[in-house]
Amino acid sequence: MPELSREEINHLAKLSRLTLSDVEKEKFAKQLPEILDFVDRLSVVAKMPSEKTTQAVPLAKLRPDEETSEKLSLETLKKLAPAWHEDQVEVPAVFEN
Amino acid sequence: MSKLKTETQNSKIELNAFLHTELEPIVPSPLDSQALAQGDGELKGLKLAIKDNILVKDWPATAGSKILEGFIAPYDATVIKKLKEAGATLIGKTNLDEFGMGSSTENSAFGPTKNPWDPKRVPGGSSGGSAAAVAADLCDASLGSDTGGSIRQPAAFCGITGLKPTYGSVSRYGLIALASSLDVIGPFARDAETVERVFAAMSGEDNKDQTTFNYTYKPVDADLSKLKVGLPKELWELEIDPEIKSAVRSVVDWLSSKGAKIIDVSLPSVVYALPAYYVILPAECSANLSRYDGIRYQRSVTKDSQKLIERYMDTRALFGSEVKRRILIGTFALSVGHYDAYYQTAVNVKDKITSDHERVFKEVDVLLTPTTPGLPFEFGAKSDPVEMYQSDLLTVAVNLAGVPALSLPCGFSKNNLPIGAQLIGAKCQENLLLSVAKQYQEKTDWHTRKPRL
Repeated sequence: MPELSREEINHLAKLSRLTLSDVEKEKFAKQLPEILDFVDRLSVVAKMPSEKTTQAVPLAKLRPDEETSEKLSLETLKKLAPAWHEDQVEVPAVFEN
Repeated sequence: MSKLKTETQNSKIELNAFLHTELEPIVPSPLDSQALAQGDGELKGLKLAIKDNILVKDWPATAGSKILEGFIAPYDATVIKKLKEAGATLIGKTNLDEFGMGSSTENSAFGPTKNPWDPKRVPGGSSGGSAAAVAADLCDASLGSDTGGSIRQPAAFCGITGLKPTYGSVSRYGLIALASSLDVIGPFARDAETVERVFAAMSGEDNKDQTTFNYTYKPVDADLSKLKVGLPKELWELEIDPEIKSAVRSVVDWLSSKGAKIIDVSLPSVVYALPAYYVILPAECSANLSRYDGIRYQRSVTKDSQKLIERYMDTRALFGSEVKRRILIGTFALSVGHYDAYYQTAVNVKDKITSDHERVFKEVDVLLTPTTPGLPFEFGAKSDPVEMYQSDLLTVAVNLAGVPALSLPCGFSKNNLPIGAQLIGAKCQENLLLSVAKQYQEKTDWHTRKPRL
């Protein structure tokens, strides 16, 4: 696989929601095709007959009784988020005005 | 108890095996469990170190990443709860490759750990801090996690014993997720007997992790004269350091001298294990790591008039190179037009590897291979990602098959670097692997040797 173009790297970074520096973009444009070439050895077995995968761990093996995790106190939760406004987590604006 | 002494007192070498060195040890009290109240507690007094991707309530958990700096775990992982109840003393958190991505601890955002046998060399990874801490006698046992070899490879590189349990025999609740369909927590110690004690206490079904199943560890006393040992030819034929091959051969000879039957077996699909792993892992981690959004885990990169999406992207710039690389690969492999060629094919290979293992364990009781293709390498020696990925060549198939495996010390190179042998069993056969390892360790002293620090 040839080196990725700047547009391709930018697009992939956007899909991945990653901010990359120029140095990283240059490095990854070379390395990602090398990694993809390596995993492309799988193309030999691509035609093996098999079921479509819809989950990483088949549901039949899962049990129905999973408990939801214990509730954490507000005091504990407050240590986990960077900013609070009264008893609510403060987040940046989602929409522009 | 005094403050944690994270480095050997007389040592001139700073191993950087531990993170957060200011922590006070946690000593369970009789109030913590019925067993301890009754004066039992099978791990009472055992000094245990914990990989920093496993949550211990009120302790930091960085997973080796800047993105979790400042995060304090709000609850105990299930394994931690169980080990506290068994009386283990938690002495600290150990270094690792960021989120478990790496085979050398060089990807830790807090600097690499050094191999106690040769400080110019890596201790292996990702659980390198946990392995180095045991090898340097800084603790009696430690916990690691193994997604593609992250317990067995550092155990081999540090000359100690490490167990990767059956997927689902140990709860993942409170383990910071890397690839959820492969991750498993397991113990390290100098000898198989201690590994067994820790594993017995930490394993079992947990209603907080749906992938666990009904499991109770029961020790067995394996009769070596009736043991059938398989040597998978596809793995033995790989490019393996001759010193490692000959050391592991000596384990084969020892088993044979005890009357075990040695059989050459074939696992045709394992040659595809490594490329399949490097599709499945990035795919799962690209999804798992989407949760680090600059809001939920304390650490945040904030700027004036920042939008929500900008907060997300600015904070995620804190990820290290290997993490970014794998998120990009995972995103690529899961994207429209590539999904079938990469992810679907990799999962098909995983299924094939599982069925190959099921078939071979009808013929033999255990499989034996070297743990690593090479000896512990020097820092910076594997700067190319694909070259680093080869470190997992002999260990990844086990994770894809979901079976247990352990690495035990079986010799040293001319340069006095430790060598590990990998014993692989059928699902839930940890007891058989540990019994074989214990009998081997009764007759050999590799596991008792200590590095000069």
